[in-house]
Amino acid sequence: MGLVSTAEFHAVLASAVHELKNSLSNVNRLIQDLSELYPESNQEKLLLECETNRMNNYLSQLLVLYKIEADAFKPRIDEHIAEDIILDVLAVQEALCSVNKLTLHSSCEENLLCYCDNDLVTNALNTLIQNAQRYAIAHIKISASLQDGYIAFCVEDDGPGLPEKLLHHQPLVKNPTDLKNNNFGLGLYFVSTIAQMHKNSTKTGQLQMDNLSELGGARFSLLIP
Amino acid sequence: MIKVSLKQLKILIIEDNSVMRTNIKEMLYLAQGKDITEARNAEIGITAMEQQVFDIVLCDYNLGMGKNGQQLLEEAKYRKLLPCSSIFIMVTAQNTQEIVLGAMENKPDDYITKPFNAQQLLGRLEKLLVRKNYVMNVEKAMDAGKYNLAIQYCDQLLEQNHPAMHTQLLKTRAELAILVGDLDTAEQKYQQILQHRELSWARHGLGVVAFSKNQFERAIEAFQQVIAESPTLMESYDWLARCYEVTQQPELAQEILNTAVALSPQAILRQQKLGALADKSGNLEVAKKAYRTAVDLGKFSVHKSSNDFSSLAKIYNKTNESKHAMKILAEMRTAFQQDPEAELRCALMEAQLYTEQKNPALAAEAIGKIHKQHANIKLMPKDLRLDIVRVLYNAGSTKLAYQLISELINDNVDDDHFLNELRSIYQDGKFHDQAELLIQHTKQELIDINNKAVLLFRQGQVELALNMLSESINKMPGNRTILMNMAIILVQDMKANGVNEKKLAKVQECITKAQSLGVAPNKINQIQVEFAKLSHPQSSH
Repeated sequence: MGLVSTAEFHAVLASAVHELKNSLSNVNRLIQDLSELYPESNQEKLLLECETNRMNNYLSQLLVLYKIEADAFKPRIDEHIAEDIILDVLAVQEALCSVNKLTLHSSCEENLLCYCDNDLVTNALNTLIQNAQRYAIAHIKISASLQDGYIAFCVEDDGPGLPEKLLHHQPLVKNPTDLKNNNFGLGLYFVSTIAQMHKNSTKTGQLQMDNLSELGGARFSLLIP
Repeated sequence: MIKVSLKQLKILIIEDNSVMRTNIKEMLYLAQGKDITEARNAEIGITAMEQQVFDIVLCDYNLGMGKNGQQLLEEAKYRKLLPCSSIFIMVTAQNTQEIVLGAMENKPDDYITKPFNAQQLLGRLEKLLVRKNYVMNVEKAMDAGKYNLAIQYCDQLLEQNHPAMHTQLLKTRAELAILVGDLDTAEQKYQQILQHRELSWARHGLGVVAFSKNQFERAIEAFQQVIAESPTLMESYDWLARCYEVTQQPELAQEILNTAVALSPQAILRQQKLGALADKSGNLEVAKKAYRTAVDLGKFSVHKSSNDFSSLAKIYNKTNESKHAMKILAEMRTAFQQDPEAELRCALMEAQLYTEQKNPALAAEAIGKIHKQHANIKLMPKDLRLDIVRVLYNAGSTKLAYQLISELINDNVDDDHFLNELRSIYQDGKFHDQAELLIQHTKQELIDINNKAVLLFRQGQVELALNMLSESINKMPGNRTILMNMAIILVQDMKANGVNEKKLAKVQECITKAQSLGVAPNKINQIQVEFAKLSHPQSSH
C-alpha cells in the first residue's frame, strides 16, 4: 500500500467519508435555501435531492462496512414492527420514486414482529429500492411477510429481471475485491453483509435473488431470522 | 398520507440553526402542529421546560455554545422537567459512534439522523404517539409516583395481549417491579421475554435483579454476556463495575469503566466514578484523565461538582505537580463563585499544600477559612467531613476536629468500614483513646435504644417504642440502624393493628432517607414490599 498501512488507509477513508457526509448535509441545506429563492425550479430541486440522497446512502454503506471491518461491530438487535420499518423506508423513497416517474407500492402483514437492527435493515432496504429504480419501468413494490421462520422483506420491480448467469450467483462475497469482478456492486454486497449479521440460534439472515416478482421483473428478498 | 395529528400538542424545538428550525416547524404544520415553542440553545430550551410541560421535544444534539443535546436531556431528566409520558427525540447530524452513543446515554425515546423529510419525522412521531397513548395510564401513574397503581394498569394492559405492545409492556412491568422492590416478579418478567428471544436489555435487566438480590456472580455473568453481544449497551458497563466494586475487585471495575469511557466519553457520572476508582487503586494517570474530563464536561452539566476539581488537584499533588494543583484550585474558584462547599474544598486543599510546602502563614489562613466555612454547609457529604477532620487534625486544630469526629461517630457508629477510615486519621495516643471511648459509648447507646424499643414493641407499647426511636433519630440524624428499625416497627404495627395514613407517610420518609444514606437496596426492598402491600392491598398479587 506504499506509504500508509492498510489500517491507516482505512482510518483515512473513514474520516474522509465523515467529512463528505457533513458536506453533503451542507449541500442539502443550500438546496433548501436556493429553492426558497427560486420556487419555480421545484423539479430540479427534487432531482438534486434525489442525487444527494443517493450519495448519502452510498456513504452510509461505506461507513457501516468500514465499522464492520474495523471494530468487531455488532448489530443492535431489538424488537421492531416490520410495518414501521417499511413506513420509514417509504418516507424516504416515495418522493424519489415519483421524481423518476415510478410508483412505489407496499404491503405488510399487521403486527409482524421483526428482531433486527432497524437502522441497518432500513439502510439495506433503501439500497435495494435505489437499485430497483435503475431497472424498473413503472412499478416497484416493497413488502414484508413471514416465511419459514424468517421475516422476508421483498423488493421487486417490473424491469427485465436478472440475467440467467446472476441468478445462481449469491453476492456473498467474503473478499471485497470480488466486487471488481462481479456485477452486483457495492450495494448488494452491503445488503448481503447486513443480512448475515442477523442471527437467531442456528439461522442466519440472507439475501435471495430471483425473477419471481409478481410485477414481472427481479425480486430481492432480505431474510431476517 | 399524513395520518397523525399534532393538534393540541405542545411541541418544543431546540435547534441552533434557524433555517433548520423553520424547516422542522413547517414539517410539523403539515400535521396541524401549531403550539410550537422554539429555542435556539439549550439554556432557552431548559427555561421553556421549566415553564411548561411539553408533549414533544425535538432536540438537536449539537447546539453550538453551551450544553449539547445529551447534557440537556440529562438535566431535564434529573430535574424531572420531562415526564415519562412526553416524547423526546434527539436529532443528530453525524452518526459517528461516539455521538450516537452519547446521544443514547440518557435514553431519548427515539433519535433521527439528518437529513430527514416531513414524512420521516411525522412517521416517527405517529409511531411514538400511538405507543404513548396505549400506555398513557401507566405512565401518568408513574409520573405521579403511584407505582402500585401503575402496576395495576400495566397488568390490565398485559392481559389484552397486544402483539405489538406486549414486549415493551413486560419491560415496563419488570422495571416497575424493581422500583417497588418486588424482585421475583421482575426476574420472572425478564425471563418471559428471554424465553421468546435473546434481547440484550432483558438480559441486562436480569443482571440488575441479581445484583439487587446480592447474587453478584450471576449478575456479573449476565452483564458480561450483554457486553459481549451488545458492546454499545453502556449501562451494562456501569453495572458490571458496581458488581466488581462490591465483590472487592476494584482493578476489574476500573478496567471495565475505562473500556466504557473509551467508547462513550461524554457521560460525566461514569468519568467521576472512574476517577474515584482509579485514584483509590493508585492508577493516578487514569484518575487524572477521568477527573480532567469530568471537570470539562461539568462546565455544562447538571452533575458539575466541586469534588471533581478538588479530587483532580489532590491527584496532581500526589504526582508532585503542585503548580498544576494550584491552577485547578484557581479554576475551581472561577467555576464556583459564592459556593461554600467549593470554598471549603479549596481551603482544605490549600491547607494541605501549604503545610507540605512549609508555609505556616498561608496554611494558617487556609485553616481559618475551614473554620469559617464548615458551619455554612448543611448536609455535607461523608467524604468531605472525613477530609475536614483529617486536615484539621494534621494541622493541630484538634478541638474542632474532635467535635466533628463526635458527629461522624454518632451518624456512622454502625459502619465498621467507615470507623476504620476514621481511625486511620489519628495516631496520637490521647486523641485515639478519647475517640475509642466515644465509639464504645455510642455503640452501647445504640444497642440499648434498639433493645429497649424492641422490648417495648413486644410488650405492646408501640407508641412508647416509636417515641423513643423518634428521639434517637433527632439525636443521631444520620444513623441508619435506628431509621430501619423505626420503619420495621411501623410496618409490623400496621400489619397487626391496621393501616394509618400518618404512619404510612412516616415509613415512606424512612425509606427515602435510608436510600439517600446508602442503605443496601436489598434491606430496603424487604420493607418496600411490605409497604406496598399495606398501601395498596388490592394489588398485592
